Amino acid sequence: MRTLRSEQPPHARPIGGLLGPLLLVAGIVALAEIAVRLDPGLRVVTYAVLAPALAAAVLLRRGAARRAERAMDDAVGSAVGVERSAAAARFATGEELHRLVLDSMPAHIAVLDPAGVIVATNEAWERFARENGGAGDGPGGACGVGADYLEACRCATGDDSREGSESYEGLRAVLAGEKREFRVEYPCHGPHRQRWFLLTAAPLATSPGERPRGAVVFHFDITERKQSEQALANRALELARMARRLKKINEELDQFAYVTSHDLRAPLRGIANLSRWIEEDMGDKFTPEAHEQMELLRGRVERMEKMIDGILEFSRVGRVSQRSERIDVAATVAEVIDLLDVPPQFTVDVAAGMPDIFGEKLRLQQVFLNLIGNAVKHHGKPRGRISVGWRDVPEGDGKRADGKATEGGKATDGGMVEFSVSDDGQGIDPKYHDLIFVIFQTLQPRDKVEGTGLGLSLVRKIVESQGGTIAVESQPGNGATFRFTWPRSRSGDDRDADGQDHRALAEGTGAEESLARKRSTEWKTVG
Amino acid sequence: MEDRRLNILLVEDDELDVMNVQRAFRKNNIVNPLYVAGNGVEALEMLRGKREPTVPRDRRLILLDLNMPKMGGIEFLKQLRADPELHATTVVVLTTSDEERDRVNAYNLNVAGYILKPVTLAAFVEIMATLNKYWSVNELP
Repeated sequence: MRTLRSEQPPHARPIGGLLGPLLLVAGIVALAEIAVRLDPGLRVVTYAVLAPALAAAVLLRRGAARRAERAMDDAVGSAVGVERSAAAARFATGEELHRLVLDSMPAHIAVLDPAGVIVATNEAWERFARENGGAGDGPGGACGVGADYLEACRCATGDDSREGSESYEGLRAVLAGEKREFRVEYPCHGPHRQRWFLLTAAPLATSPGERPRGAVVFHFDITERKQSEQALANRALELARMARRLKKINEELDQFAYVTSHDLRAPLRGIANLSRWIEEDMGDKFTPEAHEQMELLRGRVERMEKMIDGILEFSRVGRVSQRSERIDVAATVAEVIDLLDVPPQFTVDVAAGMPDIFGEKLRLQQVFLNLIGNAVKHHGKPRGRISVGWRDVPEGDGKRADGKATEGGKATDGGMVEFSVSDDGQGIDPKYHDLIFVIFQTLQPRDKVEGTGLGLSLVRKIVESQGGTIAVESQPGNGATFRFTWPRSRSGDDRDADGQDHRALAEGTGAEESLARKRSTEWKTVG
Repeated sequence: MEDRRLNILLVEDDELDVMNVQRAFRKNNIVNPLYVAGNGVEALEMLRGKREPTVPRDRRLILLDLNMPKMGGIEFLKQLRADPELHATTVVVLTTSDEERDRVNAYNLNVAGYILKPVTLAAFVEIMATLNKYWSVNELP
């Protein structure tokens, strides 16, 4: 390049070549203008005379431009030629070029002969061998030129041993022409930090059929990728552990509720019995007030027993899962209406074409039992109309029954169905819409409308345990509508979210049950 | 009917439940002697004549609770069935446990019945009357 710059710049010539014709044209035009100004009548004559001169000037200029271009082309062409030949001269020997290229690479590279002996290495390889003691043994070191790399792989020990024998086999196959490429990732931890490498080997062969003349081995440092992979894996493990812990805590809570409620019943029954015995034994020594108080006492005991039953049932939703089956929803709703013994002043309309869904029948029945039961019990008017409806919730709709955004990943095969139970009763003030789903919360004194405050909390727990949602729409005096979603099919559920845990859990149920029994026995023993 | 009397052993740790049975017997005018053991260990001793009051060897009927201290009902049943002297004894379970596992275990140990303690006293009295009548007409080992 230096020799080129010292010459006259090639583009100077075409510009100089253009100047002549341009000046000529400018001169002619200026002459013509002067002539016209002197006598306008001369214009035609002047142009008639000048036109050929102008044309000649334009042609002249074009020719000059073309020449100039050609000259420039020649100059550039010769310049590149000079450069190419200079570069070729500088890298005259292929070996040196290859050497430089190889040394500039960050990967550790070695060239093996057909027997697996190292015949060449690059700078990075040598540096690594130096820093890690691989260059110590013998003339070329264990991993230097002249070392039997194949043998070194075969004899690899420690944390490299498995990958060592694997790379021995891979390298052998590449050298024998059996493999076009071989890759293995292996750990190579230094004393101060952990490292991982990717080893790749490719045969040196000019044509595919030819027996390789050797192989090239590359080691790439993949520590960063490995480390982030490991960090990710650790994170996933930690998350899984947390999920398991949470699940276990929840199960324990349910278990606790179950055992407690089971054991709380015995003393209650005792109180009820004693009150009756006292009443019987005292006979007419009791005043009518005392009899009434005894009756009240037993009423409270009965209520508490119902609440305990409720907790028991509540804990069962999470604890025991029933067999999933095809549910004829229309038939289930009809059964519920029959079971509830709805007073004749109430009519219950059930929408046509109720779908068949898949799930735990008893749970769906409990939901309808509570919602339709509530619609009658809390209606507040002597006669009323209750309607049960349904609609398909398209998949990916993203709308939940409570209007909030759906949480990701809960989509089930076949989408969701939304059911609704509406009444024309007294309605519920929006400020209580959250409260009614909380366990043991009632809006009426329990003496006025007998209830445990468990129904809706149980309903919500059931619906949510099935992956659905529940919400209420109501204004005081305008009735209420409860909407809940239920998966059309639970068949795909076993492999979502908690994946592999599912089976383990199912297997573990027996053990948990027996643990529960043991605990309950222990508790009994203490009592 | 006097010579068809049953020797009933009630194995129950809850005093109130014992009173409940006694009361139900009284209400039904059941004159069968009622022996009471507080747990499985006591019951076995009374059956083997090693603890007072011993239960007469003939026409025995055991009313058995499941959840008890020291030795529960299921363990008691296992030992009873393993004892060549006692293995044929008639046992009816009387419990609050409605767990399937208890029921299955009990029947696997050849119980003659499994009764859930009813909530109301009236129902309990009726059950006791039925039990007594049924076992009184039965031939026992």
